[in-house]
Amino acid sequence: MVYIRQVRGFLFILSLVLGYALSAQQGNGFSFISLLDSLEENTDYEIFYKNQWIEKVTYERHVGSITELLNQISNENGLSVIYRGRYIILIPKNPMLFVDEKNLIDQYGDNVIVIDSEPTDNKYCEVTFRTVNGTDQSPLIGVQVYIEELGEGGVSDENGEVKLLLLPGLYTVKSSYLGFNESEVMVLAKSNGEANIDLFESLTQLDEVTVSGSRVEENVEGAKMGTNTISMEIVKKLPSLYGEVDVIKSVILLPGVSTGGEGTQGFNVRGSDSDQNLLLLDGSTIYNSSHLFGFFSNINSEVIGSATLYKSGIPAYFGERASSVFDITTKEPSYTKRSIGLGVGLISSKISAEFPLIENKSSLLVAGRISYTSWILRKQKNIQVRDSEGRFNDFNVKWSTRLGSSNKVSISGYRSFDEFKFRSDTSYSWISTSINLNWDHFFNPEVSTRLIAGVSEYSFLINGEAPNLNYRLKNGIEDRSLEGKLFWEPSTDIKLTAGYKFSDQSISPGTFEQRDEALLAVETPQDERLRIHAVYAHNQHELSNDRVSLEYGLRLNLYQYLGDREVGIYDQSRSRTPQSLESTRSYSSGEVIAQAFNLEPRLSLGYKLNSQNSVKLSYNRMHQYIHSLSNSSSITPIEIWKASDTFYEPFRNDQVSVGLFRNSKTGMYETSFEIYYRKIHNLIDYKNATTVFLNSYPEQAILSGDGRAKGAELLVKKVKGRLVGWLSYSLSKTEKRIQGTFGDETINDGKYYPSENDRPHKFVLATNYQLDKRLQLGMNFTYNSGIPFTGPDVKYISNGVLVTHFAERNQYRIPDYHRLDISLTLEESNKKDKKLKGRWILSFYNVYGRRNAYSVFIGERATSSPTAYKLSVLGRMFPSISYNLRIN
Amino acid sequence: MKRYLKYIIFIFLGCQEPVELEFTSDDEYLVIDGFITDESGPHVITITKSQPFTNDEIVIFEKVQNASVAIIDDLGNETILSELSPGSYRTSTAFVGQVGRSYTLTVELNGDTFQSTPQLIPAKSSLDSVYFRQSERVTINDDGEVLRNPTVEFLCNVDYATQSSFTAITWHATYEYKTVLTQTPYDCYVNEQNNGFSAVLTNEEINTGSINEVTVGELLFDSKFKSGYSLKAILYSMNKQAYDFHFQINQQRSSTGSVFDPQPFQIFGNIQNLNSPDQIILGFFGAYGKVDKRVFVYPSNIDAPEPFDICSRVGGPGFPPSYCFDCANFPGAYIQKPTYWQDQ
Repeated sequence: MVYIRQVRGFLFILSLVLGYALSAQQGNGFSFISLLDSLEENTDYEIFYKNQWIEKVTYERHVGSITELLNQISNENGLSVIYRGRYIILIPKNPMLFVDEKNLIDQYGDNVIVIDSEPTDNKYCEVTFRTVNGTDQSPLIGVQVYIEELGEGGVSDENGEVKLLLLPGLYTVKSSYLGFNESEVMVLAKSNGEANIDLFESLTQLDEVTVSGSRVEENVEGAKMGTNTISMEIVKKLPSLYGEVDVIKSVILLPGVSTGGEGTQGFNVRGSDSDQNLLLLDGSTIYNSSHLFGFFSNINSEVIGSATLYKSGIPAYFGERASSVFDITTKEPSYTKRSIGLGVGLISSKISAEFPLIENKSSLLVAGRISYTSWILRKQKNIQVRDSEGRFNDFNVKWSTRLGSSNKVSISGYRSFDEFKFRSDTSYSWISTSINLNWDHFFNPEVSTRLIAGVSEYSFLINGEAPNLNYRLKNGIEDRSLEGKLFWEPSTDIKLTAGYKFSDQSISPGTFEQRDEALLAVETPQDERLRIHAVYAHNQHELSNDRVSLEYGLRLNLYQYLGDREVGIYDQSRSRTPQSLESTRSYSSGEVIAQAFNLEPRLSLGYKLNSQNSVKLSYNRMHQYIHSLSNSSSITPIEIWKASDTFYEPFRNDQVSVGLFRNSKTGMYETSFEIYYRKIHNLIDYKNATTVFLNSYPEQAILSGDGRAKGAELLVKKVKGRLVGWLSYSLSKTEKRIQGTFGDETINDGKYYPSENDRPHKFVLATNYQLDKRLQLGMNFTYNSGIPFTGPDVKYISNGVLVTHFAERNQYRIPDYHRLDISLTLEESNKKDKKLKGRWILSFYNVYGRRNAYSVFIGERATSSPTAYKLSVLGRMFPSISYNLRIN
Repeated sequence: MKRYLKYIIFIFLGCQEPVELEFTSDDEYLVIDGFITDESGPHVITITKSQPFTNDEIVIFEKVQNASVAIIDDLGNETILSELSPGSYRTSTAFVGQVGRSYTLTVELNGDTFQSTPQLIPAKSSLDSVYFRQSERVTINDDGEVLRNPTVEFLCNVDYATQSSFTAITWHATYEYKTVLTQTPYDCYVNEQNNGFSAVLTNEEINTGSINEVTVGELLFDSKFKSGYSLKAILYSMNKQAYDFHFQINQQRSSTGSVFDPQPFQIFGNIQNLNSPDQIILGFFGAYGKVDKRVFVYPSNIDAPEPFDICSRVGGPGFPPSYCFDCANFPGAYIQKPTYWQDQ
């Protein structure tokens, strides 16, 4: 044996020895696997195969060359044997490998890609699949590339690339991308190399894959759960208010995501407050997502490349917000072709253009949206509103360039502006801006790095120009961050992301300037300054048995709350009020006032029961260091952010979720069922009769406590056919508990009470039906339980008037919410290659005109007796039409 | 600025409508309410029971009788209140609160003792002036027509006693009612008043020692103003506890349900059952300093068309009403000219 090892490669000699050894065995029907095992055991050879190919294969007693034997058995069972150095590789469909390429092309036409450029000695060929838009060769992000024979694949990254290690052989590669035709090509991998996969928009195709919350294959595959990728192609066809395509509003159709109703901002994930969502635009935090007080969102749908919502199993490379991450990346502008998109709606118009600056090297995306809302205001009955003016706009720009073969740099900028002028004497405006730089460097196919530097800002302004009160009120938050990320993929089974993020934030809770005489003695609360250092590592690990996928990660945060600041010192024997404030301690600039060191473990585990079913489990711990303060149930544009300080420890959210995932045999249906439990520490609520607005000592108004949430979410999707869509149902319960030392620092006697976002039942049915080649009918129906409110208990008489005494906080619910919307989408073009592509969308919002309750309140209008009123917005059907045109 | 924010919610055809709540509470609470002032009595404390919340406009409150009610000052002087009508307990006319003194209300009822916290009558702020100006109320009817109705807005300037004084304002008014269709040898007078407080305010957060242009009330310029209208603005000076209570009550009463309204909450008064401290007792016992000032408005002061008078409508069953011939038949009218009345 020793001798043989020294002359490895000489199969002739090997075969003689083994032939002898094997022939000594008794009986017929030897297992092929044990032959291979014995071969590996006795020699230096490594043999590669999949058990399923040969587990039932046996062979007859045989004396002779082992190569003959291997070849013979393999051939009989549809396998081929490749000898490559000390590797022996068994692959199916062997004959194809040795088929003359010309024959192959004859057989499959243009659909075959032969990779035979750089010879390799490795057992694997590293193949980079580049997924591009067939019409302009721009990279497509998030394309699912799937090797049919292996049952494996990947999703294309920001550069539109999927790297896979393949054993040499012929493969059927299927690629799918929402809104594009599915592509199927044959790839003959003989060496390392690249394969371009062209995908074409399926605007007029009947077989288009239209609706999907998450990527098709990911439902069952991998360890990720609670993750939904939003297809913009779908979002654009959903019925919408005034025809404004809105990615934030469409997120609300997913299970576990809800909103306070029309005219409220943001969204609530699994019963959490909307400030607990990390909204990222190209990696920069966006602090406010509303246009026109939340009736629309401020992200222009035209620029969105991908949008992914993480509700659980949040990877360690995301942090700083406790409940969810909504990761939006703008489109990668095309390096080769220019195109222009135009959209005209009832209240706004938008334009987007992408064009290469230097072909194949750098390109630019610019987009903008401008509103014209005045005509709506003028139609209103309320004179206050009639005399008002409202406008909004937003702009995006992204410049992307390749520097050499191993660097890519992109700079993106964003600005959103809103102004609402009330009867020409008071105006409100709010601005979100962000600018960031992304620099990717590729060291080798396994290792790459990314540097992200960004600045993000939100500010809110009230300008009062009334004759007797001329003032300016401003507040906001500014965030500067720097992040370095390392990506390491030593094999297809391991995907490691590690990094460091530093962010420095300043909060201005509000300044009030009076331009004439100082009529009001208004406090100017001190600015806040905080820093977060975070180090993280996250690994996606596919275990070799093909059944278990793991994702695990750890994030370490160091949070510092910095001076300069005067911090109140209170009489400990009383509750915190202006009266119990004894003195203040002053901290100098940069001095650490409070700090926290937090560990955040993240874990997701996927276990594949079979090719159609899997079970997944995840746990994550998240901390949050800033909160948006608001005494009301939804975020108003006056967002006052408050950082954790000596009075409030960082907010912490621990979440465990378990899910069952199933894809039907034909791939027609995808089903997921998830349950979760959250434990929340250091949440905030407000003391009765206090205000956080322009309050120098917010600790006198804010209370802290804990919470818990649990829920079950079912999602059934039909992803193929003329009718596509989904049905989702969530059952949930979210509660808070505020137990302070003193009576006025305790809510509802320290019992658990429903959170403002608690909606026990939520049901959504969203469908899109292809009527014919050009016409589609979209429909969605939403049902939500009403949100809790503090309702009236009794009436009594005091000082000659009827007064309402209220029950404990959040003990009642407003009426349930439901709504049906319908849309019709007409594609103008009927040809794949036409230069102009137009699309008309006719939308009917709230078809049966339900007056859904926005709130229920007790007031006095016509009578002197307190009466319960329901306030509803958008209480009738809103038809609208919009037109979109794309010029290539 | 907040008052404008409230309207924003109506932008997109917001609409408000009464809604019957799907739930009713069967809670019932004891309500002890009333106040004393530094003017001569009688001062009234009422004891009633709360009623479940409904949208009904007329609510009958059960009156609680046979309680022993007393007010004790910080020197230990006790004043017994007598129940002159069911649930209504009065001090004698001679009882006068003293500025700088504290008063505690005690109620004995069915073996329970209810007691207020001591209420200090603080130094009195004063009404610098009370005046009026013509204004208008703009509304839009269902047909989209803009309606502009003239109003009379009564205002006052408040001078504060200290750097942080707390006050509440209300008004009582009297108007002259003359017979229109036939001349009677006398004119009539009618009283009306504002229930509750029209403004609850403090100079605590204000640089100056006074607040000007405080609206006492804004009234439609209607037939009440035909021959003369006299409004008496009343300013109560109170302690912070009383101010907080009334401020919160007023804030809740003016809720519009917008996101900018603070969440409603349970407002508790200053009275406790000593035998069962956790029992909820509603209402407030107050002890206030009182000042008032009167202003007269005559039709010639207002530049607006003469207000519509029902007596000018002729024909139809019941028209014109009998008081068009004899003002004494007008509801609440009396003939004795008030001593303070000034003819134009």
